Amino acid sequence: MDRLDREFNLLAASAERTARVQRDEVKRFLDATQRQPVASTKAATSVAKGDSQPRRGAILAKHLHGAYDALIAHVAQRVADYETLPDAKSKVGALTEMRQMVVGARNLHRSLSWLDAAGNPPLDLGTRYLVDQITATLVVGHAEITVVAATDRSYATVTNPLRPVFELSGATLPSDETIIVVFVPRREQRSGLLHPLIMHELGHAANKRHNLVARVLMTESGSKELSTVMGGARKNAEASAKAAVGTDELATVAEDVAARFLAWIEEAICDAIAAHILGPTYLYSFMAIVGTSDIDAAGDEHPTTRQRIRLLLTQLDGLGWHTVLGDAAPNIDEWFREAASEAPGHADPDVACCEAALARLYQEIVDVVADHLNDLVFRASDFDPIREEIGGLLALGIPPCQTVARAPIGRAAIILGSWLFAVEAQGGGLDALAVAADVPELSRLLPKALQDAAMLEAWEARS
Amino acid sequence: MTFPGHEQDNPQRISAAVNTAGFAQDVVMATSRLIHEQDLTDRDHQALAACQGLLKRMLDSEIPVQRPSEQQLDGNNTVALLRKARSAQPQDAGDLARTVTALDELLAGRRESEDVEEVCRLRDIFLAVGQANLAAMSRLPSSREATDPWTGLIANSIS
Repeated sequence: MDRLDREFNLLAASAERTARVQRDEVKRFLDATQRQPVASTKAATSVAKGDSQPRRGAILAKHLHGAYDALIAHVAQRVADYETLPDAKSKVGALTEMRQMVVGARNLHRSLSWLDAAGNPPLDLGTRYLVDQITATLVVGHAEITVVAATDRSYATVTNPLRPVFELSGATLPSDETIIVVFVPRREQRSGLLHPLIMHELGHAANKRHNLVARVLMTESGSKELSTVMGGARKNAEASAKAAVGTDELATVAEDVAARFLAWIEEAICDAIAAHILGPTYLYSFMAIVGTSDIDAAGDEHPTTRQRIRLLLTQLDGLGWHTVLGDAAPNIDEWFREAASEAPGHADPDVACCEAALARLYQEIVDVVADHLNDLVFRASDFDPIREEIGGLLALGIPPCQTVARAPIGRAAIILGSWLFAVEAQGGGLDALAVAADVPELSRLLPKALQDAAMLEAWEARS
Repeated sequence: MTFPGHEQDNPQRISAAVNTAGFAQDVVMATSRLIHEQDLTDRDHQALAACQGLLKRMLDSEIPVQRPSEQQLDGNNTVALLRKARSAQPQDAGDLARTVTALDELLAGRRESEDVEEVCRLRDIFLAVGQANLAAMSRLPSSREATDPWTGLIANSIS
């Protein structure tokens, strides 16, 4: 046995062990957590009567377990393959791959913390009801969502993140299983006014499931704009290069710019989804977190914040919010409109090209979102008649879940009413957005109102 | 569309990278057997068909927007690494259409020496893809220390 063979064996043993001990942790979760009877009709046909599964995180744990099984099976297959490799180069390839398996298995370690979050959810019950319900409507009814309070990332999402690992050993995810993991910053897990940002994150899951970006790109304008962006990127690359540019370099530049453009469309779709469901609430929550960065900085995955504000304001005005925005928080509205009115035109030609193309696709994005959301849209006309009543109830320390006439108040209206109450309490300036989530009464009233409103809605639906 | 350095710790991307690792070695094994005139396994045939599909996709200047979006991430990862490897090793890059034809010829049992050389070069490119993928996963770009893994945002983050 030569040096390569011995090193390969070490790496294979390490990859197998890493996957195995992490799978053991998943097994411990499955054995130890609170359980409930298996409820899914599909699952009920394949499990014994009286069988049970974890109350929360059952599908997530199943996916993690399956992914580790796939990794272990793949390593065993590669150990068998190694004996048949015909030359040194193929053995070097095997060694490189096994190093990647070790790194990959170790990096997947962090997903075990998701199970802790599934067992002990960080959000209040009212928000959890809302998130579950929106997920079912926006993404798919059977989706299992886990919210993780993370110290290492901002608001973020992953959907079926372990699918590619399953495919290593030729397995596929069951089509009726979707797991969504949403991250919220640990420090904000009790900031009810910022939880609306989760709706944007669920937009990414909706896009994964329903191909919303593709639906925009498949319109006549969408495919035209994509071609324009890619053509522009190739021209810009050729113009800026000092020497001849190779085909692969040109293709890489064009694909990178196209990827950026697609990511920006996805972000605009997710913003639009959140704004349609929650109205101005989303703009306020968005500004509180995203608005503190350089609003003219463009990222690989995000358009400039200025462009996002511009698109959001146009959508909100289209849904009739113009007057409410101006009346309820005039200083903030004035700032938004000033920021939005500054002409676009980024110095980087590729960014400028993406920015202009995204602006031209505004209507297609709104159409795809409105079509997907159907009747989940929150309009100013839903809020105006009860706006003062919500504020009055909050001022009296009463959770605003129903009107004096005992009509249930929608949850989007509850959150917006809470935002306006908090903005006023914090002085009404732009800086109020940064500290609105700290208004002490709301830490009790908002979760309670959301929880009670969910009960009332369920009660109304029954009767 | 490679993954930015600060996003390597996204589990979704780690999964895609693990998938890329497996695929690259599948191609290395299959081309090795083809080069050495050994019998191909079913998995070898699947890997070579997928590889030809990927090379054809690279020849197409359009972005395929209708593919299921879940599969885009790992596919994009592999294509990006392939392009990177081809740019870094122009002597092995060859002509994409020529490589597809060479694979077809060898699979059909016709073994012209230039076709065998073309497949050898393809194997070298996929060996480089594995190395680049490992470097990206380990976050150790050429002679630089790894960045702090706890500071990154991940895909689909809001900002």
